[in-house]
Amino acid sequence: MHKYYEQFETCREHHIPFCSDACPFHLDFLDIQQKLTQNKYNTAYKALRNALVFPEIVAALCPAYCEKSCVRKDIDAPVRINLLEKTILSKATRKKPNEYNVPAKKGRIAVIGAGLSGMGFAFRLASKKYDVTVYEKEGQIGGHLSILLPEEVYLEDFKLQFQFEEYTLKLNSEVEDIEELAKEGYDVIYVATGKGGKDFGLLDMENAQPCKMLGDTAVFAGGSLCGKDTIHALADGINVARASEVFLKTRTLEYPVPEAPSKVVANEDLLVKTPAIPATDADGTFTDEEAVSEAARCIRCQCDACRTNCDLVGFFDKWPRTMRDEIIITSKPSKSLVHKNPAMRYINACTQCDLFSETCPSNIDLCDMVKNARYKIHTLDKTPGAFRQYFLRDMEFANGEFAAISKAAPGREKSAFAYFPGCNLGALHPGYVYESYKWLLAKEPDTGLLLKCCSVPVDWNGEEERHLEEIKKLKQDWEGLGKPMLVMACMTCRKHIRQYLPEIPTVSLYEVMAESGFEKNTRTMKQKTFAIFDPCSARNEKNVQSAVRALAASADLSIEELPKNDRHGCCGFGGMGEIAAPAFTDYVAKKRSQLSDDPYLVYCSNCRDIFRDRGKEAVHILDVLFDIDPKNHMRQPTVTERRQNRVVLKERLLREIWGEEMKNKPEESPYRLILSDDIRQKADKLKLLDEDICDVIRHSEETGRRTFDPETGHYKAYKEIGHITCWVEYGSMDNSAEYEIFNVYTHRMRIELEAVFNGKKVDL
Amino acid sequence: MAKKLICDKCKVEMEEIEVQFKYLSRSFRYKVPRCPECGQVSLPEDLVDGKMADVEAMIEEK
Repeated sequence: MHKYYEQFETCREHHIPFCSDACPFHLDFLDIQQKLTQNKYNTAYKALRNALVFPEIVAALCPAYCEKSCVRKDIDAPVRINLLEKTILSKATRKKPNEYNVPAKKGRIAVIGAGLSGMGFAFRLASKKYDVTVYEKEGQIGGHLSILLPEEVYLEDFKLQFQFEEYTLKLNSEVEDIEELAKEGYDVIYVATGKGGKDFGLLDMENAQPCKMLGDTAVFAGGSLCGKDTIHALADGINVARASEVFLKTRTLEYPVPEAPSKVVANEDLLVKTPAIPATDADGTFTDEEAVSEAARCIRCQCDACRTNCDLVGFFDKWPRTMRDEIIITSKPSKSLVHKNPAMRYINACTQCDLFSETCPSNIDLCDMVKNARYKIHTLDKTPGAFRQYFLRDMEFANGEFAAISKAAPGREKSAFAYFPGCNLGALHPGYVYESYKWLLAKEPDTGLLLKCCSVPVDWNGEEERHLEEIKKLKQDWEGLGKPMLVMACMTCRKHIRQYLPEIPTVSLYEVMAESGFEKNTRTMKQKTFAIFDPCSARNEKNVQSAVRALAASADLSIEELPKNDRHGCCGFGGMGEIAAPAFTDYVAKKRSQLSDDPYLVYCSNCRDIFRDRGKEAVHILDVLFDIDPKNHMRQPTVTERRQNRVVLKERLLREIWGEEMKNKPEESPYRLILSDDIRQKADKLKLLDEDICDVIRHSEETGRRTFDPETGHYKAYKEIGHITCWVEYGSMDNSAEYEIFNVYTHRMRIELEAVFNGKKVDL
Repeated sequence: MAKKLICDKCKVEMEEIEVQFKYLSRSFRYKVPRCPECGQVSLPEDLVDGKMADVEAMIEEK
């Protein structure tokens, strides 16, 4: 976990926008922009003054470095920040500075030169109530401003800002000997004598920084004397004032160093061509409406790649560094009651789609960290078992005797190829696997079948040992089939197998079909446009993507691409976080569903499930190619039907492909359950199998432990099913093997019944 | 309603009696409808989906 400490420090969360970075004052334009969108000129003026000291002078003279760095310059025109500033100055009505009753501070400051830089410096320290004296060789303040601006403009601004500050101004006082001046008891002297002015040896020192100690006095040089232009000269004065305060407090002499350049990355999706707004107010500034519109052209450049791309960061509304710290805390053993697991929810919610790590400009690998955390918390026995119990039981069933098949092609011991459809495709409808396998056999008779789960659920649950065991079994199956090349229908299985069993050669079913020139006979889908939704597990898999598009074209489908092609996150299924964080899964599914109004063409059965469960029209490419459900009519199977489909598929494959009968079949359900549609839906959402409900009833009937409601005539009973407790409200029908189910609900907490209650032994 | 619920085993009305619950190594007691004779409990759905679900979520993050 500790390797992430350093990595996450490169996060650009606090990196300032390009305009602020280019600004000599690092003006927080995001703040100003926000105020402008609400026409809050007075607070905007305050923000300007806080950063620039003399806003009128700066607005009049600044060449607008900010605009030159604006990201808009390449697509239309930069946001007119300078004119927006002038608008603030023109429209603000409360410019009088605040008067603070602050006690005088110890520390005597001398400024040599009353130009813009010296005055900026003097203002900053005078406003902190230091004793400031300004020496000016001429008879007036302002320095070279007199040749740049009308006198009344800059003198007015000096007067306005200095109105509540006290400082001593010594005009016509040229300083000849700085050592003498230092001896007068000044703690800091700022030399701002302007272009070509006296530098008192500060500039020709070997030391690169124009500052030195004269006895106990710190001497700094800055401004035009150091070759800066007017605006940078003022910024120098402000920065040296900050360094002087540090010196006064700590007696350490450090010249201000420029900040490291911002590495902000703009969200280019927000850059929509919007021409600059013309300013039509009488004084050449913006009107209120124009100011709002011009400010709104700003896309507020901030690195938010993770917020835009990663669903986890977006939904849980946390920045990566906070997440890192919370994940580290959560990955520690819990011993005390005060221990917290602040990241438990999102560690288990993550779809593991890897988009964060693929798109972070700082190459932060949050995806990997979350994945490691799942393993870590599972090892520490902290993962709530209920989170993925359903998926793990489903994997067991898919790999069990009633559903799994590992067979070489009919009549062969070994095969050169084996079809690996994944466990969900056949559960959704047996036809997907049966039809596609038959087609494969017709094309290549030496194709065996490996029908089982790829073991991704245990990986996603962070179970190291069990995962290794499952992977080992998968490898044994593959070796038993003669190490065939696996033809994969599920891209998640393929990604998983490639990662953990790289020795197994794989190819996607879709590539095989497209390369063999699959021709669909019936062309029923014409005139319908589909948006193609590439699953997250096929991101960057260009060959598979082209193959699916070619197959869609061969079936005469009209295909649209999604706005960002494959650069989107998971449909919501990945990571199996649906039970741990249902609101997150719904958020992700909704976001993905809204990428296009067109129905989706998918090639991952889990994507199909997620979309169809939420009413988004989605067809699988195999629906179209094999006429399984091309028109989206099929009802989504219940969790129980999914198991039944797997059994039906195995039975059919054995009989029709290998001419064998299935020896063992799952036990018939002891009861016939009658469920209304609503209750059926509820049970399905809770991922309750009919077998679970029957278990509760059987337990209740056998032990007699149930309650009776005389008002409704219903019985209610419960039983623990693994990590959950399932409650069933039911009524018996005339026929004793039939039960009507009126309600089901579950919880994760255990009821700890005492073995002896009220002096009687309890039949638990 | 809860008063009228009857333990089908003992044929007595359920009463509000404390029961011990446990989740992720944390135990606590709470009064729920329980048979005074045999101790079997009956949790109403609103308790399960409301307070219990909240406590479960809280413990998971604690």
